Amino acid sequence: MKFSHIRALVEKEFYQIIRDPSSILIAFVLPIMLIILFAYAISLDISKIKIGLVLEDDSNYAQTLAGAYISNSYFDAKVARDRRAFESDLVSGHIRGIIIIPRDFGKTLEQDKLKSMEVITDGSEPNTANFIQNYALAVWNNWSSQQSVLSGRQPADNLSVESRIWYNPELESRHFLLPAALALIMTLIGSLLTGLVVSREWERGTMEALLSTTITRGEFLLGKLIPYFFLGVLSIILSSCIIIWVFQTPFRGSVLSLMICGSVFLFTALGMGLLISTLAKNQFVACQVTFITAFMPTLLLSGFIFEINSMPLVLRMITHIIPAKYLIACLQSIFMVGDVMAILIPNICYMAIVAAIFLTLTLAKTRTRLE
Amino acid sequence: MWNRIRTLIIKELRILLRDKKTRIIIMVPPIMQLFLFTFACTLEVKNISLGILNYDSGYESRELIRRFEYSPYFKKITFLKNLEERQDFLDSQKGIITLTIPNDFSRCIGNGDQTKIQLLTDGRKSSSSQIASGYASSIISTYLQPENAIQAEPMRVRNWFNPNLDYRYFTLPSLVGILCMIMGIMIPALSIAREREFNTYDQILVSPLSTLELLIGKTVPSLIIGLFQATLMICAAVFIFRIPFTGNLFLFYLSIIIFMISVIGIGLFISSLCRTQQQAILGVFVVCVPAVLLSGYATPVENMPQCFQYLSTVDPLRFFLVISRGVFLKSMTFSNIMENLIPIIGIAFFTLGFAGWFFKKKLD
Repeated sequence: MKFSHIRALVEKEFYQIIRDPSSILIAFVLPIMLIILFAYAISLDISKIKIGLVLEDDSNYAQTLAGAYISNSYFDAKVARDRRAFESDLVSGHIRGIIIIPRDFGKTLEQDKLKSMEVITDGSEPNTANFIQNYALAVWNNWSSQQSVLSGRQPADNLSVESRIWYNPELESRHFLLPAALALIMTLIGSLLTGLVVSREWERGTMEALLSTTITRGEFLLGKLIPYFFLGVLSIILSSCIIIWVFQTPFRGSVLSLMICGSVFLFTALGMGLLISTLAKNQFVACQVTFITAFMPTLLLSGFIFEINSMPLVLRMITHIIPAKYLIACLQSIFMVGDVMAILIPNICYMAIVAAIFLTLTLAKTRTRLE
Repeated sequence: MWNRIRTLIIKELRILLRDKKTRIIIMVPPIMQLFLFTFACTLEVKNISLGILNYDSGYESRELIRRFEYSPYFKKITFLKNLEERQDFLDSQKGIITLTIPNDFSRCIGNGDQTKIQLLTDGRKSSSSQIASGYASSIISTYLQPENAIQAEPMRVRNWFNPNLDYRYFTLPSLVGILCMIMGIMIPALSIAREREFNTYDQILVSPLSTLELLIGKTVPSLIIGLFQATLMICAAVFIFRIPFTGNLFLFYLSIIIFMISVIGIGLFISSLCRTQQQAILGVFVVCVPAVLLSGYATPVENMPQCFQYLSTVDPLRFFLVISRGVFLKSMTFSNIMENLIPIIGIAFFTLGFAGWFFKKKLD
């Protein structure tokens, strides 16, 4: 392995990167776009859901309860007298649910009995439907304790629950989405950029030119790894700064552990990209494979949006080979808790193993001959 | 004219389907993603591992813990000895929730005094831990109630269109739109970028093809592949996953065709700005990711900040998802479909018009 060869290759790759603006865009503009989208467009905290409120009863109780539904911040309610007014709105998706205060609601309450309200939700969006159920009940509980209706009927309760949330007491979903978005960004830069580099050389026929020189496989791979590694590190630094300073996400760990995690993960992502690229030899195929094997699993199977423990066994097994899973565990801890060695060390080791496997495979699959 | 268009279409399809790897890559991923998404995307929380720090040695606390052991939601219970172990349990994510029972628990319950159980949850996984905390609270709050107590339910809930709130009913119809869009943008975007990268674009420019012919010839192959994939996914949804299909199939296909044309227009538009395939892929990415995130798939559109809501009105996927879920689950009527189809038609006119203008400019 000759240092001068590697340097020449790195230099060539470096010029290729800065002369095609799209590489710079992928490394710096795409991360910013993703961070903004994750910060604003995805929110797991839902508010102002559009509902229809049907008042079939005119009593004082019904009026104040309706007031409670209209005035709170969970719902954006339209009022009608007849439920048929809302049924077609529910089909067209203009409202997400209907809350019905039934006839004789007040009268039965005066007799200290309860006539159930009806809640109809749009089940085609299960999340929103769940929120409506829960918040409709919450508003009711609040109202009924204020009105002290049925107070005599509540069982005496001397057992209470004190619930506290650690690390993220305000339950700001941004605080755990943004560190996870960082993992998505690294996967993208690592795998998408490098996924294209080797296949491009094959597709354009410049691989032939490289093969006719004296460089070895190892030198060739290092020449591809080094420039993209630095590009990735720069992009991590940029993204972390934005996440911490612009979006005010807490950062309780150390910069050193963030950089170590990030660099080790970059090797797995770059290794994966290079492997795909080496096998694909065609940019369209490489891009699709990167999407399927890197981007989608990072989004779906890394435990970032969907809980891994709730998945079927086969998928839970698959999640073990997804490097982003380990990175997200590290990043969420580094940002929200601190340097928890019990999490960092095993996860970094896993990532290092995955990186080693990918890079060895790539080395083995890099051919120095034209078929 | 038809002859020329036919030749161009055949050429495009051959380029796409000639290579075995490309053939696989067009057919397999949608099916794979369908399964992956469908099984992975559940917001249910099951198999929760729970840590219990019990300072009480009496009967009541053992009884309460037994209730947790019998609950279907909590699978692995770890008994913690002290506060340090509890801290470590949450810090190192051995579990997302812990229960702390005070030392006078049994005595207080026996005497009818006030007592308090502390639930600590991991805010790193805030949505799952909130749900877990809800399950735990309900176990605790029903603990003291006599088992035969009949409580009047304050509300009866009915979920229309999806009575059991099965998440798949939501995922699969949405996926038909998302996957069609990704393909519909990627294939045309890369096809022209590829021609330019290989300098075969000039050959097309000197051929007798007119702008319209070129536009049709580049649109139809992607449309054929997109429709094929959509059919595959609809069949999988209906026959394998047993999602009800309540609407009108003809109207649905009409909507898919119009939707595909609008996204192919976006793909052609991207390719008109790119010189290399890498740039085209970047363009596809820059369009697809926001289009999916702003479509209302992840978060309802009305929950986004105002500027994103405006932005989502140029997102054809937003309108198509309403149609897709509506046709699958709600047997949506013609007028409701049209209400969502008209914006898509508008977008299609704009993007195809621009792509056509670009081709014309190059041809002149």
